[in-house]
Amino acid sequence: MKWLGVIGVIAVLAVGSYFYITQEAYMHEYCRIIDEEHLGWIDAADAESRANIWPEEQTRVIYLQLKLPFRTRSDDVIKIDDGTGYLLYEGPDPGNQLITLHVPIRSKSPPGDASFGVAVLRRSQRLSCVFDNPEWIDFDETPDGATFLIEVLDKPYFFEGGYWNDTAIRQTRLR
Amino acid sequence: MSTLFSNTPVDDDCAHCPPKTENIIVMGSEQLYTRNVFWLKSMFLSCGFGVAQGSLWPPGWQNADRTTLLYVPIGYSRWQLLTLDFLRDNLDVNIVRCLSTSTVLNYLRNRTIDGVEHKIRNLVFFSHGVVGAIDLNYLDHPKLLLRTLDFTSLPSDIFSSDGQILSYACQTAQDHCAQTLADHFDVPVRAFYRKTFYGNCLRDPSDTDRITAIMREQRETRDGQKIDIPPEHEAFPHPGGFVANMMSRSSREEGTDNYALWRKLGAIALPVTGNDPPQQPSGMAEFQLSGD
Repeated sequence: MKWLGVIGVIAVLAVGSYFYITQEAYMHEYCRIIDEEHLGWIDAADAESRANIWPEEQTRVIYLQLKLPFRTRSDDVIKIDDGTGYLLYEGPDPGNQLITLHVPIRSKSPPGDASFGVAVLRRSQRLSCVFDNPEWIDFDETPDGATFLIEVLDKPYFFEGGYWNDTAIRQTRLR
Repeated sequence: MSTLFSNTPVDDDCAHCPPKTENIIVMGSEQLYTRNVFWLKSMFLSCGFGVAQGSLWPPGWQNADRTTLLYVPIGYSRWQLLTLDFLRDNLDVNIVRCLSTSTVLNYLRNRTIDGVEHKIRNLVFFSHGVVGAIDLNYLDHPKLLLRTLDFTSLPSDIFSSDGQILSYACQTAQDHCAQTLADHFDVPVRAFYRKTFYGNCLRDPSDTDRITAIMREQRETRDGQKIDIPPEHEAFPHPGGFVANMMSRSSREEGTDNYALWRKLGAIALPVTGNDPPQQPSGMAEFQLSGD
């Protein structure tokens, strides 16, 4: 019985390690270690985005539910942009909570559109993970309060028709 | 007549002078080839550097009153970016750092510089591209995407009458992107249908073994410092890369890991058309205003 217990513990540890390692390796397919300068440019770009306001422009309220295929840490920062570099959300992994986005509708563009790209920044490890979203939403068909599920998948797939074909994001309109 | 033959000195009245012109070179970041940082990290930078200093002449290129280089700094090292300081300090090239799409678009839009109107004579892109867009920060955060509709949101009269657009980004000719630009701005647009091949821009492939041998030898005593590779190359320290790259030993065995190759005079040659997708036409296509 004692040996059975030991084998059981080893088996549990092995399975746990396997899932941890595969999950970490998986995450790392999309992540790169960046140097301090690179980190500094990201911060500068995000600061520029935050300062870049369009007072004359309207916004559309969109809700997102985000699902990541790996466990985030407390120091991870999730960033969601509108596909053109404008930062819409910056904060901790919201888990099952909906994220409220105020997406700018630019007056000079044709009917406004946006693509919710996701980035995860783990500053403690200088790790930057970027997931491009190939799907663009058209505001004409997306009223205030529309809700989308954004899933970062554990495997990339080929998406026909987007700017980025090789993607790991799947977007589903929930409401 | 009275205006043309007035007694006003020419210097004081230039209402009939042709507008001043500007050549604009746009360089994106390179974050795709993370397992090949040494050979490819500087591929956009070296091409833009060569064109800015006049050692590379894209087709139809003409000099202008002013040269401006827009660059996305993300992922480049201080050593690499110092090369742009050289252009600014020695060749009077105007250098503009771009961290957002709006910075690029605003620069293209605002044609009055120091109170004088400057029309764009040549606009050239060295960057990643996807069908329907030039992606100045491909695979990285934040997005710096120039879509066809971003270009057509610009005024149509920002180019001089002899202006042109050249894109060395992948696949700009596809999905009517280049044709739409030609129609909107009424200037010729040269672009590739296929992906662009930058692999031989920085060095002759026959030089590879010699360069790696020097790298291995020099790093025994100078690891982490800039390494000179006579007669015309140098290697800049460039730590980082994909986490998965830690598993890959090829660049370490080569002696090129954590470094990026640089050619002191910029690229040897301009990029060329690649092989993919094979069903698309090869070579650089030229688009004119529809109906021309």
